[in-house]
Amino acid sequence: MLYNRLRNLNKKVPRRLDISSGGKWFLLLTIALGAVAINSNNNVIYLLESLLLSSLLFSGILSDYSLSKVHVSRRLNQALATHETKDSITLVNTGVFPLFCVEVGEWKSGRFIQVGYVLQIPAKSKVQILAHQVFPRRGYHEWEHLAVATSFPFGFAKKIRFIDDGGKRIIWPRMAKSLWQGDPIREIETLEGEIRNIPEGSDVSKVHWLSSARSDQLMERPNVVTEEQLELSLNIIEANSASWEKKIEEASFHIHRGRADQVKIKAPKNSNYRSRTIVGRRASLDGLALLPGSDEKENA
Amino acid sequence: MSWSLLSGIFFFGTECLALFLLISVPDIPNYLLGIVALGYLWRKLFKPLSARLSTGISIFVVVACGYALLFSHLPQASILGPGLILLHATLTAAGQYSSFRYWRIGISFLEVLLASVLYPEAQMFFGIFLFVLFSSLSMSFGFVENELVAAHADLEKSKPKLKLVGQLFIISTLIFLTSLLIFPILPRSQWAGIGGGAMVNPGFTETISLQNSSLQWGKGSNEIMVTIILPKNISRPVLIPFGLLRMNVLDITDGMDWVYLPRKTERIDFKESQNDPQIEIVRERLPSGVLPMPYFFEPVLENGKWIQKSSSGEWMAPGFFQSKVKYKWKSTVPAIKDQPTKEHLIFPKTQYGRKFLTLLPDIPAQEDSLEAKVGWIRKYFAEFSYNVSYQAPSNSDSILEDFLKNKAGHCELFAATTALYFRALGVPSRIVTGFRMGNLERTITLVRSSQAHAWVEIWDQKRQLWTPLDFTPPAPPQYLWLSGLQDSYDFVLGNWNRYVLNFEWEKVDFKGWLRILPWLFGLVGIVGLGSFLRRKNYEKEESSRPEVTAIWVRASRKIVKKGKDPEKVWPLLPESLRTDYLKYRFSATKVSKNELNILEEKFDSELGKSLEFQNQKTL
Repeated sequence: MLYNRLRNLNKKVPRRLDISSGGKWFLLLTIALGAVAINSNNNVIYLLESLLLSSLLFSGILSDYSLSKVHVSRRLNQALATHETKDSITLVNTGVFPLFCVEVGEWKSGRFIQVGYVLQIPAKSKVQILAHQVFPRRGYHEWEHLAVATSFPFGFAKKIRFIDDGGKRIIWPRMAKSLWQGDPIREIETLEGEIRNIPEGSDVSKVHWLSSARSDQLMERPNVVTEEQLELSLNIIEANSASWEKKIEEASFHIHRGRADQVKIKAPKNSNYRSRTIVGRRASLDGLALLPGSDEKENA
Repeated sequence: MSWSLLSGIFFFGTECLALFLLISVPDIPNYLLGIVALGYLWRKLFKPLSARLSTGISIFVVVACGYALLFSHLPQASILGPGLILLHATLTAAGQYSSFRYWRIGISFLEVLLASVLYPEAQMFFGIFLFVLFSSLSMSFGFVENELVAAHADLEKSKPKLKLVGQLFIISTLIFLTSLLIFPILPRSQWAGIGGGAMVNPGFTETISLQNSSLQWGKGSNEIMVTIILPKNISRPVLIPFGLLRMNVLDITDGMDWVYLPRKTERIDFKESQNDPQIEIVRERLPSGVLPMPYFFEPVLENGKWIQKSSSGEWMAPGFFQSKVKYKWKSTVPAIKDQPTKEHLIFPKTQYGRKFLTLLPDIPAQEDSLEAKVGWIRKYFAEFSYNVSYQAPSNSDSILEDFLKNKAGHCELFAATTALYFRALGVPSRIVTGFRMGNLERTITLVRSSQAHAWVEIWDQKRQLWTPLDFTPPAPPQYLWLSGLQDSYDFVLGNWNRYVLNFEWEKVDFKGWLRILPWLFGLVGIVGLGSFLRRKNYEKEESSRPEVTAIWVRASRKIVKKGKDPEKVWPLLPESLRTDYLKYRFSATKVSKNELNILEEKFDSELGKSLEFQNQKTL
């Protein structure tokens, strides 16, 4: 055990520090007061200078403690463009002190994008939160690192710790709003046969215990909605046309409604794409998400 | 109580504390606090108006009133302190437009800084501690409030976490304590500083004799006159015998004014040597560049006659503005062996001096022993009581007559009467003024003006030395609990003076600290090693917890083999078993192997019952 701990000491945990504007003023004040203290040799000013330094020190120690004692795991749910995606984030405080103001987010292009926030994680306990992310466009959403951050206790600086080496997810196209009118909404957020997190307040009899036991969540299998099957076809030649996105969204709507479970993609011979038929509802929606027109509009 | 309210309370506390500390500086007028209050008031009064308009009006009112008042009353005053308060008031008035919260905390910090520099009394020590506490809580709550706003939480409804308050309280205390550790290791320069060292004021050191120096006293205030820091190799009872700190020797009393005879005042020259103990006497810093003048006498023209009159004046020292003066006295403790003269036997030549002799009751014979005479006077004064608020009659000749009639008075009257009694008995006596010290155990002694005292010294012919005698009855204690607090305050103040205001590396007792170091390192090492070994690898534990899941997977397989649906059997299992399973599966704490075995055994036994039950139900 001791050997393992010593060996792990060499592994540097990547961290970043983003100083807030308040922190910059605080640093400026500390430096200025230091200069005044040296110039004046006044012990009272030295004492106040040491108070500022002590505050900085404790601010750093506390934020570092928070980051080192929190363990984060995220369960990704299927994201739909323009819809709120509620990923489940589990934060475990392994320390003996409660942690405050912990943020979970994605690190991308040198920026920390917050996806979840917890005010308090009690000592030696676990907290589950839902991330509220909204992706504006279909396609891939990539991130460089999942990160946990905190500015506790004074908000002078945000200390960020990277948790994983990043990843990407597919954002399905949104459903055409025009088709919603007069169409009863039934299970639009899930697919037939999909196992999903049971929403709060749902009927407990719906819990799928085997899946729940294998996962960290209570899961349910939603009711299957059977509809008349449609044949969906899209031609990549139209990718640059104004109605292209609308067509994709309509196709997405029908697949979500259970009115289609396959999509035919037609492509010209000289293009990078090939003509194919995507079978299966999940695969069809993945295919729709990655159709041309989305690559250059990476989700923020 | 909501976040907003609690945050507001701490923020308000921070501001108030800083302002009160600044106006406690004597040079800064208190009415400026009213200007800040005016800022708050105007902000509230103009709330119904638009934010910009009301802010504009509030700022105008505060600036107009405040600055006009300030400049009309304080043409010569230093503008820094009042200027800060007015800036504070202006931002307060503008608060409706924008709270300027961080700016106001910043200004509060500058106010505390200025107050500490201008008036570094011990209350600043507590003030700074409280400021750290309030400002930490305020800043942290402000930060959390902002975060909650960003997270779209309802601030009015969300309840603040008590644990957060507790943790921040501990953090603030630790910040303060750590700053005391950082303070001595900050680099210090010998540079005089830009501007000729206007703020460099470590004071100067001079060698003085306590015998030559007395201070203004007797006003009954609790002001600290002098701090005496004793070296380790000398005890206070040796330095201050009987707890009486001698300052001046006075020979003749004349009414309420003690006449000082310079030629007769004994001056003891201390022989300085390398081995002599060094006593550090620190005079407190005064706010207005005025140093207390030792209690001195000057010729005063009264009724056409020049008389020596005591004066409690102050010594103006413009060259030592805001300075602290340190006096170092190197001496051996002197024995008071100067020989008595005939002046120590004479009576005052005033009217009451002659009358005094007629007031004496049966006196012992001149031939009686000194002990008998002392015993007689002690017995005589046994009926007397102490009364500090003694009002002397306008005619100074009848003061002692009045005292002996009322049998109540203060130390000066007791001392004067005692001295005259002894002189009447043929024993040379003299009045000594100084301070009566309280607690004799402390290394740091604070001499307060309220401790000013007078007593007598009589000449002991046998032992050939002056013996101090004090017949003043002890003053009845007014507030016992307050005296306890006073001791603690003195302790803090003494150390504040010694280790903060007058900190010098040369004074640090390295040997003392070195003794602590091994224990300190040992403690830190044990705690560090313990926490290092106790750290758990939560990365592994947080993976899918397969050992618990496997129990249900195995149980499910058994159920499927029997041709049943696991999901239908699960609800039939006992509630306790299901709870245990979910608790082990989802909790963050580690589950022991023994607990897992017990769980699996329970599953096996309960599954049989549940399957049978389902069979019966099906049949």
